[in-house]
Amino acid sequence: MQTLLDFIRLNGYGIYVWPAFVFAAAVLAFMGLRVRARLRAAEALLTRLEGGSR
Amino acid sequence: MLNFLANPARFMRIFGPLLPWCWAVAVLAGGAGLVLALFASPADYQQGDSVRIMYIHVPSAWMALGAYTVIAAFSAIALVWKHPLAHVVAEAAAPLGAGFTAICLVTGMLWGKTSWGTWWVWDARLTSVLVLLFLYLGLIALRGAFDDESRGQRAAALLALVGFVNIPIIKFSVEWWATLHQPASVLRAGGPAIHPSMLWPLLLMAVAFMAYFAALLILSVRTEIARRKAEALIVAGRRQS
Repeated sequence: MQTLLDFIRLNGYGIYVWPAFVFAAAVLAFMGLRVRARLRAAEALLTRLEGGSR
Repeated sequence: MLNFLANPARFMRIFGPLLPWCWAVAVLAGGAGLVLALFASPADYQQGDSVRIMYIHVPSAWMALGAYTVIAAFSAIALVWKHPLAHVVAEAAAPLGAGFTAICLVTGMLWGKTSWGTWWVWDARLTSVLVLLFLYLGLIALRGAFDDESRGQRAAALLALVGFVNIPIIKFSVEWWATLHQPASVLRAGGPAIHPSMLWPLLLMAVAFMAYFAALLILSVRTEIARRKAEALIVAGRRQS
């Protein structure tokens, strides 16, 4: 338990290091989810239009 | 070669199969890089454990510059050779580059607070990277600012080329001006100046960021191709009715 707390504290730098990693993870996840949502919407629209044009 | 890749279907046939490889490299290199960065690499003798921010700050900075270089290169191809997919690639890369630049700035501020005692200084490196973020936001806004999509693409391509002057300014700002930011310690003449125990996790994270960027870029291009096909069908439907 103490080892885990030491790891989280990172000798006092944890309050700077972890927000940096969390912010990076959040931005990377947002970019991935945004790209996936746009792709799904575009392909769904295309499928609907191609179905309607047949 | 450029004409060969101008066909969207052919473009996706070539780059589509790369997608699972990009995901695999991103996950494996990112996982290994994170483990090494957080558990195996030593604390810096001066900066202590705050140096671990480097493992996301530096790769995101490289990607911020790399994505803009991709945009500028494809903008030039679009303007000179009228390559139909070049605008698409440039457009797809802009939000990704903006994301990496935001990561670079925020992680840099957190690292700066521990190293310099301040979140921000208006020195050459930090200011030129902030200008890069504004350039990315300008590119995104400019594309959507015109009713005629092709005019927006052309305006954004011109801005991308003009803004490319900022890339060497960012790279060499730490040499040309006196700044708080440290000079390059990896991409420099004479080879990397950091110990392999820190260099390897840094390079692994950089590879992971590059693979993630490539995967999202391929998916974004696929999205744009699908959107354009859908628009063409809508226009054709209007003409028929």
